[in-house]
Amino acid sequence: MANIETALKEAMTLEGAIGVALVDYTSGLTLGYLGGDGVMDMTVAAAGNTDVVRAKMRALELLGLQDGIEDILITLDSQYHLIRLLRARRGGDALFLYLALNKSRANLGLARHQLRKIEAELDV
Amino acid sequence: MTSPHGGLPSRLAPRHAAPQAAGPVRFDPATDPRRPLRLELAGLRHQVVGVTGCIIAGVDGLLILHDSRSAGEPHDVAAMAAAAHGISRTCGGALAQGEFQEVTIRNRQGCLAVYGIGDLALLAVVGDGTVNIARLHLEARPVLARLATMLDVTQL
Repeated sequence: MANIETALKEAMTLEGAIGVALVDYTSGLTLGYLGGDGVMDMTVAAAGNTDVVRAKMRALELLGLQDGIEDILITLDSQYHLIRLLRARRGGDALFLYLALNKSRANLGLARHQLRKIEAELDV
Repeated sequence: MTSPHGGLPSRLAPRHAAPQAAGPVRFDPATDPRRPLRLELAGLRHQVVGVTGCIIAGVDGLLILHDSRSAGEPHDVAAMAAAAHGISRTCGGALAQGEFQEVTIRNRQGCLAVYGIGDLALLAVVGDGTVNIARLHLEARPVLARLATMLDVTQL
Protein backbone atom coordinates (compact mmCIF):
# COMPACT_ATOMS: atom_id res chain seq x y z
CA MET A 1 0.00 0.00 0.00
CA ALA A 2 1.30 3.44 -0.95
CA ASN A 3 0.75 6.73 0.84
CA ILE A 4 -0.28 9.91 -0.95
CA GLU A 5 3.27 11.18 -1.49
CA THR A 6 4.43 7.90 -2.98
CA ALA A 7 1.39 7.63 -5.25
CA LEU A 8 1.85 11.20 -6.52
CA LYS A 9 5.56 10.65 -7.13
CA GLU A 10 4.81 7.44 -8.99
CA ALA A 11 2.26 9.23 -11.17
CA MET A 12 4.84 11.90 -11.99
CA THR A 13 7.23 9.25 -13.29
CA LEU A 14 4.78 8.48 -16.12
CA GLU A 15 6.08 9.56 -19.50
CA GLY A 16 4.84 13.06 -20.35
CA ALA A 17 3.37 13.79 -16.91
CA ILE A 18 2.83 17.52 -16.33
CA GLY A 19 1.16 17.43 -12.94
CA VAL A 20 -0.89 15.24 -10.66
CA ALA A 21 -3.23 15.97 -7.77
CA LEU A 22 -5.31 14.03 -5.28
CA VAL A 23 -8.54 15.91 -4.79
CA ASP A 24 -11.45 15.70 -2.36
CA TYR A 25 -14.48 16.43 -4.54
CA THR A 26 -16.81 17.19 -1.67
CA SER A 27 -14.82 20.39 -1.11
CA GLY A 28 -12.60 20.70 -4.19
CA LEU A 29 -9.53 20.93 -1.97
CA THR A 30 -6.34 19.02 -2.77
CA LEU A 31 -4.92 16.40 -0.43
CA GLY A 32 -1.66 16.67 -2.30
CA TYR A 33 -0.22 17.58 -5.66
CA LEU A 34 3.01 17.48 -7.61
CA GLY A 35 4.19 19.21 -10.77
CA GLY A 36 2.22 21.67 -12.85
CA ASP A 37 5.14 24.10 -12.64
CA GLY A 38 4.90 26.81 -15.22
CA VAL A 39 2.04 25.09 -17.04
CA MET A 40 -0.86 25.11 -14.62
CA ASP A 41 -1.71 25.70 -11.00
CA MET A 42 -2.72 22.25 -9.78
CA THR A 43 -4.95 23.61 -7.00
CA VAL A 44 -6.93 25.65 -9.54
CA ALA A 45 -7.15 22.59 -11.78
CA ALA A 46 -8.39 20.54 -8.83
CA ALA A 47 -11.14 23.03 -7.99
CA GLY A 48 -12.20 23.33 -11.62
CA ASN A 49 -12.26 19.60 -12.28
CA THR A 50 -14.26 18.98 -9.11
CA ASP A 51 -17.10 20.65 -11.00
CA VAL A 52 -16.44 18.36 -13.99
CA VAL A 53 -16.73 15.25 -11.81
CA ARG A 54 -19.84 16.55 -10.10
CA ALA A 55 -21.47 17.44 -13.42
CA LYS A 56 -20.87 13.91 -14.75
CA MET A 57 -22.28 12.41 -11.56
CA ARG A 58 -25.34 14.60 -11.89
CA ALA A 59 -25.72 13.51 -15.52
CA LEU A 60 -25.67 9.84 -14.48
CA GLU A 61 -28.20 10.60 -11.79
CA LEU A 62 -30.51 12.30 -14.32
CA LEU A 63 -30.12 9.38 -16.70
CA GLY A 64 -31.05 7.03 -13.89
CA LEU A 65 -27.97 4.89 -14.48
CA GLN A 66 -27.01 2.85 -11.46
CA ASP A 67 -23.36 2.99 -12.36
CA GLY A 68 -20.14 4.54 -11.15
CA ILE A 69 -17.50 6.60 -12.94
CA GLU A 70 -14.20 4.79 -13.37
CA ASP A 71 -12.31 7.55 -15.13
CA ILE A 72 -12.84 10.64 -17.27
CA LEU A 73 -10.56 11.56 -20.17
CA ILE A 74 -10.39 15.09 -21.50
CA THR A 75 -8.29 15.64 -24.61
CA LEU A 76 -6.92 19.10 -25.27
CA ASP A 77 -4.95 20.22 -28.30
CA SER A 78 -1.67 19.56 -26.53
CA GLN A 79 -2.58 17.71 -23.34
CA TYR A 80 -4.49 14.80 -21.93
CA HIS A 81 -6.30 15.29 -18.63
CA LEU A 82 -7.12 12.04 -16.89
CA ILE A 83 -9.44 11.94 -13.90
CA ARG A 84 -9.63 8.69 -11.99
CA LEU A 85 -12.10 8.33 -9.15
CA LEU A 86 -10.97 6.41 -6.10
CA ARG A 87 -13.20 3.55 -5.13
CA ALA A 88 -15.31 4.31 -2.07
CA ARG A 89 -13.15 4.35 1.04
CA ARG A 90 -13.93 4.23 4.69
CA GLY A 91 -15.30 7.44 6.12
CA GLY A 92 -17.15 8.30 2.93
CA ASP A 93 -14.24 10.27 1.45
CA ALA A 94 -14.93 11.15 -2.16
CA LEU A 95 -11.58 11.49 -3.89
CA PHE A 96 -10.17 11.55 -7.39
CA LEU A 97 -6.72 11.50 -8.92
CA TYR A 98 -6.15 14.14 -11.56
CA LEU A 99 -3.32 13.67 -14.03
CA ALA A 100 -2.27 16.09 -16.76
CA LEU A 101 -0.12 14.65 -19.54
CA ASN A 102 1.76 16.12 -22.46
CA LYS A 103 -0.08 14.76 -25.49
CA SER A 104 2.95 14.41 -27.74
CA ARG A 105 5.03 12.57 -25.14
CA ALA A 106 2.51 10.45 -23.26
CA ASN A 107 1.23 7.00 -24.04
CA LEU A 108 -2.41 7.25 -23.09
CA GLY A 109 -3.10 3.53 -22.79
CA LEU A 110 -0.08 2.96 -20.63
CA ALA A 111 -0.78 6.03 -18.50
CA ARG A 112 -4.36 4.91 -17.89
CA HIS A 113 -3.20 1.43 -16.95
CA GLN A 114 -0.53 2.78 -14.59
CA LEU A 115 -2.94 5.21 -13.00
CA ARG A 116 -5.35 2.36 -12.31
CA LYS A 117 -2.51 0.52 -10.55
CA ILE A 118 -1.51 3.61 -8.56
CA GLU A 119 -5.12 4.13 -7.51
CA ALA A 120 -5.51 0.50 -6.45
CA GLU A 121 -2.43 0.70 -4.25
CA LEU A 122 -3.16 4.11 -2.80
CA ASP A 123 -4.08 4.06 0.86
CA VAL A 124 -5.54 7.33 2.13
CA MET B 1 -29.30 36.87 26.33
CA THR B 2 -30.96 35.65 23.19
CA SER B 3 -33.60 37.32 21.14
CA PRO B 4 -37.19 36.10 21.38
CA HIS B 5 -36.89 34.74 17.89
CA GLY B 6 -33.77 32.68 18.52
CA GLY B 7 -30.32 33.26 17.10
CA LEU B 8 -27.66 35.55 18.46
CA PRO B 9 -28.50 38.75 20.31
CA SER B 10 -28.13 41.59 17.88
CA ARG B 11 -27.18 45.12 18.91
CA LEU B 12 -28.30 46.55 15.64
CA ALA B 13 -31.65 44.96 15.08
CA PRO B 14 -33.84 44.73 18.16
CA ARG B 15 -36.50 42.37 17.01
CA HIS B 16 -39.61 43.60 18.77
CA ALA B 17 -41.45 43.24 15.48
CA ALA B 18 -41.84 40.00 13.59
CA PRO B 19 -38.51 38.94 12.05
CA GLN B 20 -38.13 39.96 8.45
CA ALA B 21 -38.28 37.10 6.04
CA ALA B 22 -34.96 36.78 4.24
CA GLY B 23 -35.72 37.25 0.58
CA PRO B 24 -34.33 38.83 -2.52
CA VAL B 25 -33.36 42.43 -1.94
CA ARG B 26 -34.96 44.90 -4.33
CA PHE B 27 -33.46 48.30 -4.89
CA ASP B 28 -33.89 50.87 -7.59
CA PRO B 29 -30.77 50.32 -9.73
CA ALA B 30 -30.73 53.96 -10.82
CA THR B 31 -30.45 55.43 -7.34
CA ASP B 32 -28.74 52.66 -5.34
CA PRO B 33 -25.16 53.78 -4.58
CA ARG B 34 -24.24 50.30 -3.42
CA ARG B 35 -25.27 48.63 -6.62
CA PRO B 36 -21.70 47.72 -7.71
CA LEU B 37 -21.19 46.01 -4.36
CA ARG B 38 -24.47 44.14 -4.70
CA LEU B 39 -23.51 43.03 -8.20
CA GLU B 40 -20.22 41.64 -6.92
CA LEU B 41 -22.02 39.64 -4.23
CA ALA B 42 -24.65 38.40 -6.66
CA GLY B 43 -21.87 37.52 -9.12
CA LEU B 44 -20.08 35.41 -6.53
CA ARG B 45 -23.32 33.66 -5.62
CA HIS B 46 -23.94 32.82 -9.26
CA GLN B 47 -20.35 31.76 -9.99
CA VAL B 48 -20.18 29.16 -7.25
CA VAL B 49 -22.88 26.53 -7.01
CA GLY B 50 -24.20 26.09 -3.48
CA VAL B 51 -23.56 29.63 -2.23
CA THR B 52 -26.74 30.71 -0.49
CA GLY B 53 -25.75 34.13 0.76
CA CYS B 54 -23.01 36.74 0.78
CA ILE B 55 -22.61 39.40 3.43
CA ILE B 56 -20.27 42.34 3.87
CA ALA B 57 -19.74 43.18 7.51
CA GLY B 58 -17.45 45.39 9.52
CA VAL B 59 -14.85 43.70 11.72
CA ASP B 60 -17.00 44.97 14.61
CA GLY B 61 -19.77 42.58 13.54
CA LEU B 62 -22.13 45.18 12.16
CA LEU B 63 -23.79 44.42 8.87
CA ILE B 64 -22.83 46.64 5.93
CA LEU B 65 -24.58 44.92 3.06
CA HIS B 66 -26.13 41.58 2.29
CA ASP B 67 -27.26 39.57 -0.67
CA SER B 68 -28.65 36.78 1.35
CA ARG B 69 -31.21 34.26 0.30
CA SER B 70 -30.40 31.82 3.04
CA ALA B 71 -32.50 31.32 6.13
CA GLY B 72 -29.83 32.84 8.38
CA GLU B 73 -30.53 36.33 9.66
CA PRO B 74 -27.88 38.59 8.01
CA HIS B 75 -27.19 40.52 11.22
CA ASP B 76 -26.45 37.24 13.00
CA VAL B 77 -24.16 36.07 10.19
CA ALA B 78 -22.31 39.41 10.34
CA ALA B 79 -21.78 38.96 14.07
CA MET B 80 -20.63 35.36 13.63
CA ALA B 81 -18.26 36.40 10.84
CA ALA B 82 -16.71 38.98 13.15
CA ALA B 83 -16.37 36.38 15.90
CA ALA B 84 -14.68 33.96 13.50
CA HIS B 85 -12.41 36.77 12.35
CA GLY B 86 -11.59 37.61 15.97
CA ILE B 87 -10.41 34.14 16.91
CA SER B 88 -8.55 33.79 13.60
CA ARG B 89 -6.74 37.08 14.10
CA THR B 90 -5.83 36.08 17.64
CA CYS B 91 -4.39 32.81 16.29
CA GLY B 92 -2.51 34.68 13.60
CA GLY B 93 -1.02 36.99 16.20
CA ALA B 94 -0.16 34.26 18.71
CA LEU B 95 1.51 32.10 16.07
CA ALA B 96 3.21 35.06 14.38
CA GLN B 97 1.56 34.24 11.07
CA GLY B 98 0.71 37.74 10.02
CA GLU B 99 -2.58 39.33 9.18
CA PHE B 100 -5.94 37.63 8.84
CA GLN B 101 -6.78 36.36 5.39
CA GLU B 102 -9.56 33.81 5.46
CA VAL B 103 -11.34 31.34 7.73
CA THR B 104 -13.70 28.55 6.70
CA ILE B 105 -16.07 26.78 9.04
CA ARG B 106 -17.29 23.51 7.57
CA ASN B 107 -20.33 21.79 8.96
CA ARG B 108 -21.98 18.60 7.79
CA GLN B 109 -24.63 20.45 5.82
CA GLY B 110 -22.92 23.66 4.87
CA CYS B 111 -20.12 26.09 5.44
CA LEU B 112 -19.31 29.66 6.35
CA ALA B 113 -16.26 31.27 4.77
CA VAL B 114 -15.04 34.62 6.05
CA TYR B 115 -12.51 36.70 4.09
CA GLY B 116 -10.87 39.94 5.08
CA ILE B 117 -11.54 42.96 2.84
CA GLY B 118 -8.73 45.24 3.84
CA ASP B 119 -8.38 45.72 7.58
CA LEU B 120 -11.86 46.87 8.48
CA ALA B 121 -14.38 44.83 6.53
CA LEU B 122 -15.21 41.18 6.07
CA LEU B 123 -16.88 39.18 3.34
CA ALA B 124 -18.88 36.28 4.75
CA VAL B 125 -20.14 33.61 2.39
CA VAL B 126 -22.69 31.03 3.47
CA GLY B 127 -22.86 27.84 1.44
CA ASP B 128 -24.84 24.64 1.57
CA GLY B 129 -23.32 21.15 1.70
CA THR B 130 -22.60 21.05 -2.02
CA VAL B 131 -20.35 24.10 -2.25
CA ASN B 132 -16.94 23.62 -3.89
CA ILE B 133 -14.84 25.36 -1.25
CA ALA B 134 -11.64 25.48 -3.28
CA ARG B 135 -13.56 27.05 -6.16
CA LEU B 136 -15.16 29.51 -3.75
CA HIS B 137 -11.72 30.58 -2.50
CA LEU B 138 -10.52 31.05 -6.08
CA GLU B 139 -13.58 33.01 -7.17
CA ALA B 140 -13.55 35.11 -4.01
CA ARG B 141 -10.01 36.37 -4.55
CA PRO B 142 -10.71 38.83 -7.41
CA VAL B 143 -14.04 39.80 -5.80
CA LEU B 144 -12.20 40.75 -2.61
CA ALA B 145 -9.78 42.92 -4.53
CA ARG B 146 -12.62 44.75 -6.26
CA LEU B 147 -14.64 45.11 -3.08
CA ALA B 148 -11.63 46.60 -1.32
CA THR B 149 -11.37 49.26 -4.01
CA MET B 150 -15.11 49.93 -3.98
CA LEU B 151 -15.37 50.20 -0.21
CA ASP B 152 -12.67 52.86 -0.32
CA VAL B 153 -14.56 54.98 -2.79
CA THR B 154 -18.21 54.12 -2.22
CA GLN B 155 -20.16 56.35 0.11
CA LEU B 156 -21.68 53.81 2.48
